Amino acid sequence: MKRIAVVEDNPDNLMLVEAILGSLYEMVSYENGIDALAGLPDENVELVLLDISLPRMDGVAVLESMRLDDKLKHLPVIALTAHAMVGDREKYMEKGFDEYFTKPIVDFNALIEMVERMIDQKH
Amino acid sequence: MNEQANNSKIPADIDPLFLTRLQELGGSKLASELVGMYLTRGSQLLDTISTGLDTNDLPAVKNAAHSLISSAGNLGGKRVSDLAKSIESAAIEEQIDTIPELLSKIISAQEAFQQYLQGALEHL
Repeated sequence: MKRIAVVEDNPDNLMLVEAILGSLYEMVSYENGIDALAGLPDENVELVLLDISLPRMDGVAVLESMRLDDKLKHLPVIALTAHAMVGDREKYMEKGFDEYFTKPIVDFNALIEMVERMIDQKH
Repeated sequence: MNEQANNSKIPADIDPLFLTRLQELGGSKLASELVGMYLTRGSQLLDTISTGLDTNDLPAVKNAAHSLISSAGNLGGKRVSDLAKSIESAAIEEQIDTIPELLSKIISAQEAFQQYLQGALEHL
């Protein structure tokens, strides 16, 4: 089973994401970006779902650090965010995210399809 | 959950399909756990917004409102989620004078949403 990571500080969002994707992928989770940056290089994951609004270090800063890390810079990263105003998708794509998915999560299948597509594109 | 029996009592700004979809995804266990978490955490987040407003701590208001957007929205609480979004925007734009009215509205919406969730929990 392929492994993916989710970085999410909101426990109910994390539970929901794990319920949606946990039967398809082995899930590694982190509650903040600092722990994710420390742990991800050893986890051999295929993709990261990264919340934007994280404590101490936000998702954009985490992504910037990942892109500077030889072990992490090629990983597809999906922004998982409640920032869903007009123009937000473009804003985060410009910052280097590979995809953008909004919370609350309305369409479970859309998230599954996005993760599958991003992993397929990586290979 | 008996949807037809319960839907007639549900306010229009609460979407019961969200709980139905959660049950389809992970059975009553997942839906019950998420509802239980929200019943505790939702009130705490509102308290944080209220305290943050009293102490002029706008980052705390913004962060708590941001969490509520998805936590309420994941369970079909559209009005709570939308009002949380408005509070977050007001905090970001430092429009402090607009927040008390929004807070009053979200407290009412939260009461209705909690009542719905507590009723739903009995049928999960």
